[in-house]
Amino acid sequence: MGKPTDLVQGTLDLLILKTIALEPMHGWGIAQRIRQVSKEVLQVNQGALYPALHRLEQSGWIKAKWGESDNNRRAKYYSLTSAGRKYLEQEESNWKRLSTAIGLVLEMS
Amino acid sequence: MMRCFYKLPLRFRSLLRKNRVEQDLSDELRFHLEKLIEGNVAKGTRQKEARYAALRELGGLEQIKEECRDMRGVNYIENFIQDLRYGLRQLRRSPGFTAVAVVTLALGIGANTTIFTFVSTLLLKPPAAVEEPGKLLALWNQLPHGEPRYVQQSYPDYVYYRDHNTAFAGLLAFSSDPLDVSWSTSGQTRLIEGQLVSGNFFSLLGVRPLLGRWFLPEEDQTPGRSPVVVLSHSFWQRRLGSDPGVVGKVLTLNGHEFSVVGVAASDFKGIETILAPDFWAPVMMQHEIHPGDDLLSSRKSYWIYALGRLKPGVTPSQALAELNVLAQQLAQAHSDTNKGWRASLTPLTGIYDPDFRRFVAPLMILLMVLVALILLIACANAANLLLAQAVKRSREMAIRTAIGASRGRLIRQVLTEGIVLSFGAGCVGMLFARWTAPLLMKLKPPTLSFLTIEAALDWRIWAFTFLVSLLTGIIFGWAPALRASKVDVVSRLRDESTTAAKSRLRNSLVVAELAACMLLLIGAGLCVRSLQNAKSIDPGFEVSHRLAVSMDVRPLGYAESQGRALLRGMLDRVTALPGVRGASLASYLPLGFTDLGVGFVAEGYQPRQGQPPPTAGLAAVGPRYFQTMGIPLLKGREFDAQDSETAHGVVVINQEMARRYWPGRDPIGRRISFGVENQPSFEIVGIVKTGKYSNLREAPRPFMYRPMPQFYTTRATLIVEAAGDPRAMLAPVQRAIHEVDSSVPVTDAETLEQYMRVPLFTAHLTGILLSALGLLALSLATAGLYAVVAYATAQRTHEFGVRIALGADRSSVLRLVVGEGLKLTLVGITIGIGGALVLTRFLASLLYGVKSTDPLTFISVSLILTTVASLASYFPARRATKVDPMVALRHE
Repeated sequence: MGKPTDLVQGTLDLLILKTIALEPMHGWGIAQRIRQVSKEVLQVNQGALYPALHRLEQSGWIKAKWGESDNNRRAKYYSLTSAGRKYLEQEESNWKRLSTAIGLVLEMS
Repeated sequence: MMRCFYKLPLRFRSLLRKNRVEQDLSDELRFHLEKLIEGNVAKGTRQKEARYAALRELGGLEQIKEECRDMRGVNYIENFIQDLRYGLRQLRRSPGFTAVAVVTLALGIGANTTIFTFVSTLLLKPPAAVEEPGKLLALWNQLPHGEPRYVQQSYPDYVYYRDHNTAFAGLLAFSSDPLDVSWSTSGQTRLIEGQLVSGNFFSLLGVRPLLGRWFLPEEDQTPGRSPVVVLSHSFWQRRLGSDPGVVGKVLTLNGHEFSVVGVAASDFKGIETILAPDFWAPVMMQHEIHPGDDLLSSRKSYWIYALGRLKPGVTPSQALAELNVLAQQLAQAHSDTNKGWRASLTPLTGIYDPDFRRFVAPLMILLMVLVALILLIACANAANLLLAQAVKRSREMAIRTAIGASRGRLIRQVLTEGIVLSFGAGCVGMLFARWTAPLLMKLKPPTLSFLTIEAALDWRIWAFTFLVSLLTGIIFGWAPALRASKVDVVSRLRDESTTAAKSRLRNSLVVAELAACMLLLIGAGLCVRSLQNAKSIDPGFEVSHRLAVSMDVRPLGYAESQGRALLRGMLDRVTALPGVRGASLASYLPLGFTDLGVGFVAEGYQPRQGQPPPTAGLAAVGPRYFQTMGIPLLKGREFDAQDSETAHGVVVINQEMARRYWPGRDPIGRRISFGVENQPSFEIVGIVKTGKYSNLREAPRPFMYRPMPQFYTTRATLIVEAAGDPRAMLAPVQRAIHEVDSSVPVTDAETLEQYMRVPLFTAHLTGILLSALGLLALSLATAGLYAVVAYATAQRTHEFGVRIALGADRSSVLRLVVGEGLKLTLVGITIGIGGALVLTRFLASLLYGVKSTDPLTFISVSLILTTVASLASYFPARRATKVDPMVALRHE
């Protein structure tokens, strides 16, 4: 049922955290933003997005608040907690190290 | 830290304000959906199609919600409660299934709890009410070689250890065997059990008195100075009617007045919980409580159990190192007694003596394995029932899958149902064990009445039953859960039944059951055969028409000459009774709890270099003993009146002793001595047939007898050969004894047939236990097989209808069904026999005269199981033949 594998799930977490690091955002917005920023390369599986958000909230990395969206509709806005911010930094550097390493290996061969 | 801070309120919010959270989730997803639709509409799609496209893109709203709930974790708790409710409803809906499953499992769990109660009391539980029992260590002497490995302390050695060690906060002492003490109250003499203890006994254990106080340090200083006792709670309750003013009152014990200073609280029953004494007295009162030898100064009497409490921060190995230094000092100072002895420490459990523990533990493990097998059979049965249920419910499962339940969720649900069942069974099993544990205690012969095993419920038993129930639920629920969750949604919803029923799982469960049953039945068969054999083992003396009355004149404090006169008088009086053919005395009976051995030097026999000196069992017996006991005299003469106290020393030996030390020569007239230089030697005057002395299984061993007048003991057993029914003589013989001295405490009075229950106890116990377990296994496995065959037959009604309609003979259908049941049985029996060949060897040490691979047992048990199994499949098979083809064909 298209359930993301661990790797994909991990990267999805990272993308979500990075996206809402700038400003609180609702689920729809997050999906749109990731697509735009990645120049349409990354397509978020929308079925997987919400479970991921709820998991991150449960883990305490992000928190949610109901707010007004365009034309006065209620939407749930997610923002980073301070623990989430630290976690993001850590994950970001992990990711960079990993992608550099993979890049090196790929260049070598 | 931060995470906990967020997590907790969230989880609670989810649980407590469920509706609110659900609403939020729906709102959130609806918002997303609306956005998607808007986007689609903006691209020019029509409203309705835009909505479908959005739904497709998002993919299953309910599934996303379910996943979100899962992510919140709260689902686990909530689902569990839901599953629990649902499971209970399911079980209520099929009460027949529920009842059968619960009873089946309860039998299995109950059997386990029953046996575990004994394991816990004997092997795991430290004595109750004792403070920090883990810090208490028993101190033993370890001999340089051989058995027993753990020897008690002599009192002087104990004092040395107590005063010179630094590892223990204190070292206490108590007498190891129960001491028979006569208690005179309102003209009657009763025999009660006392224990001598050091002054620090109670304070070091950290127990509190219910009334009064414990002993004072000064009451443990001077021999005979402080006649005080502390009463056990049960004695105070049973014998003194819970008299609240008992403290300060006087009890006459062994003719001495002792004042009661305290009463123990009900939870403290002494350190050896299986041998709870009636009272405690200071060890300094040894002479009054246990008259005879001066045990307080003797280094050769090992009668003290020493128990130390480790100081904080001291490890057992540090303590042992220090105690071994002390043991060496003792060995140097007293090389005649302590040479080569080392100290050893053991932890404290229900059975104090580690040698005895080592004897009991394998028995207990064996029993645990057997009841575990029973539980597995019960699990297989319950699993089969649940599987049958699952087939009925596969449509329901399919629907649940279709509306978004994940596979894990279905597994959890079926498992929850299984666990609900097994917990119900656990509760029933607990009740069952409350009833069977005391029943098991009743198997103990009356002679062992001093053994008390408190089958009290404690947390260990609760925890054990809880764990077993949980495990049971998981074990028997697992296969049905996996099966139930593997549903083929489409075919199920179309209501296609799987005609080619996948019965392999069910069949293998039944095979496993039958194999385990076979194993247990073989064990039971072997034990029953062994009991028969044990009963027919010749103990070397006549059992019928004999009775024995044991007494102990020690508590009366008589001098040796008085004691001798008393025994002589009793013997004369009893011999003169009408209906008595003959009577004699012995210091103890063979095959009882006493087993005395001595080393000796035999004239004309030189032990080989490095070999220990020869040893033999020794008993003192009265005149005409061999005749009275029916022990054949092979050569020489019996003891008689000429072997008096002052006559020269004589012995009678058994054939084995003659064969071993004077092979091919005549031992009569030869002399033996007991190795002490200035002691006189003894002349061999007779040879008797070899019998059994300490147990029925023993190999022939040397044994010798000395005439009672030349070897005085305070304990004596009067043996009477009756002309008629020996039971009728029990009362007159005891009356005659009390006519000679009314204060003599009689410890046991029974016929030798009754007495033989003690040596046959283990054979009896294993025989009864294993037969009970075997029968339980047989009925469970039969029920299991019946259920499977009946179920499979019912499933194939249609097929049978077709067969019969096409002209199949009814008997061929019968053969078909019974044949399938038998096939399973034969596979089960084969596996069971294989397992039995491997496992029954662990029974070997308990068996009398039957090999653990006894073919007769194996064959007859196989036949029994086959017969029962054929019957179990015959009845459903007969029903199959009665199928009306028309009905059967319309069946689906």
